[in-house]
Amino acid sequence: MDNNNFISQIASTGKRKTAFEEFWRRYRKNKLAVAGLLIVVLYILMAIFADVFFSYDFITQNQISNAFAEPFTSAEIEYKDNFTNHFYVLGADNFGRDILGRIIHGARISMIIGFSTIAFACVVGSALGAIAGYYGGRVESIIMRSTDILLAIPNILFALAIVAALGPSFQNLLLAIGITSIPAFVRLMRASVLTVKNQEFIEAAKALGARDFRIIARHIMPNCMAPIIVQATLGIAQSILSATSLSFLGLGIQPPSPEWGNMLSDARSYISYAPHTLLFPGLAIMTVILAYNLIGDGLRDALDPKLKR
Amino acid sequence: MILPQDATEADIAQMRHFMGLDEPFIKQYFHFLFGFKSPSDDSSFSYKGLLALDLGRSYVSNRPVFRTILERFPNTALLSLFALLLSVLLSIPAGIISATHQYSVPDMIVSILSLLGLSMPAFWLGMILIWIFSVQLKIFPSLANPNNLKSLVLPVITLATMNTAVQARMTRSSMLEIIRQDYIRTARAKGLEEKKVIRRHALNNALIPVVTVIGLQVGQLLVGAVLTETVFSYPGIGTIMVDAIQRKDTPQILASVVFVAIVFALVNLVVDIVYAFIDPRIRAQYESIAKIKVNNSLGKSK
Repeated sequence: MDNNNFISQIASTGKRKTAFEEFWRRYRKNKLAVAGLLIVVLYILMAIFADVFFSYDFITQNQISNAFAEPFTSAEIEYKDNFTNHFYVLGADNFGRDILGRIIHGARISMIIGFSTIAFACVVGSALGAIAGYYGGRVESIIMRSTDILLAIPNILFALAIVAALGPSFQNLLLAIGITSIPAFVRLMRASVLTVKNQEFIEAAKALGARDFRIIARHIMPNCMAPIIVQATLGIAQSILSATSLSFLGLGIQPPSPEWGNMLSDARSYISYAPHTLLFPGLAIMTVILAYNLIGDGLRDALDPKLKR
Repeated sequence: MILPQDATEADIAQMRHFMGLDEPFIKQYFHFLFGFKSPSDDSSFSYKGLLALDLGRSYVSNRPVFRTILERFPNTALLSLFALLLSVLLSIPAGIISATHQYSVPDMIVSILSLLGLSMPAFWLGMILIWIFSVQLKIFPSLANPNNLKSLVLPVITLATMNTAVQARMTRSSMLEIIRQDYIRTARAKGLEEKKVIRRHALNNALIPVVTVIGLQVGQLLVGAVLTETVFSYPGIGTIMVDAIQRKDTPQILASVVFVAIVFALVNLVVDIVYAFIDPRIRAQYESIAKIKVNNSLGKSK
């Protein structure tokens, strides 16, 4: 009945592996992509268990006497009316807050931003793209011209404009980045729907009397997922980068929240005294983005059989 | 913001009326396009609208917003132009070497550097460069200004990094695709030396997608300039925009966003035209459309 089930049945009865095993076999060959996956898993774990390592109150509370503590030094801190000795692994920032702790909590914010904006953009964008590609005609023109309008304004500029109009807050940041990420998905989905739409199995589904929604959701979409998955991975990197950039400009997450771009914006004033406050948050951003880019490249090679060498 | 802190409700309402802020949004949009005549005697609240490149005066400096933008835009253009030159000069040769010597050491170096360049936030790179070259080595100043070419070195590198990375990757993958084509094999088979094969046959075709990417990157440069300018306190359009947003200077925000969007659109148009010159296939398309149109008009005149 279902084309995909049919294929996977043939696949499983024969010697061939399932699609996922085949994909994983190809993905695993790319060592860099595996490293990227490991890094991202590490950051996700950090984000989930952030409170286990450092409590949020602790990393947002000022310890002025320890401002700019060097990495690998320990100093006395006052926390909840107790004096204890604290070991600053990556040093302290201009308010004496632990940089490692702030980076770990920042991972939580960045991961939430990355996933939620891209989940939103991916769902909305793919749906619009699929509708545009499947129905064509006037519907397509309206959807595609609207995305062209979005594309006519550069990404960060558009996000800037939204934040400028609505004021800097977490929700507005998510909204701004989410909206600017939509067009890429619309275009990709439409392009791949156009290539799938006229194939025999769609005609077969139509002949069996399937409704449009069912055809799009069950037959067309699953066959268009590869480029969307790649775009989603690269999109997360892009979205984290945009969020840190906006926060750096003071238009995203507001202090004292431990956001990486925020930390860099504070560090900017102290480049000459305390370069460590600058170095580590930037490294955190870079490794995350690098990891997502590596995964994206790996997925592209693994999912696109045409590029198989 | 314009009125003193102790302004009464009535003062505020009157000011809103003078500035046209009490009108419905649709009407305000028409004001934005075609101009607004303030009911007050103070002519500084009136403006001629976007079509006349006049969106009124800044709430902060009380200067016409577009005058500030036009004064500062050449600075941003200068920075972007240098960055574009640098990125093209670096990325295309790097991409070609990387593709023609796939899996060699230079290829590895180019690939790793371009991945790093792609992943580094520009503002962070800028600050690291300031730390190394201004604070430690004291070679370049940390503040950039358009009259001092030496001070532009760091911002140009900062701005060019991301583009260089993107273009080098694009050149590499497009070149790799082209050198596997049959006609390249033919060129080699007929005994051409490798250099000529690459230069005469592969390069032209490989560069077409690269030009598209470069075109898109020009737009990104203008935007990347916002961050780079902030890091180096460079008096360009990016710093205008960020300052305006932080001070809630609405006319200035509107004008700078619209201005950058217009420049972005114009740049893309120019790229499309350049594209037609480079790619004979696209040129042929336009020429055939032109011919059909000419024929049609001839047909009508008969």
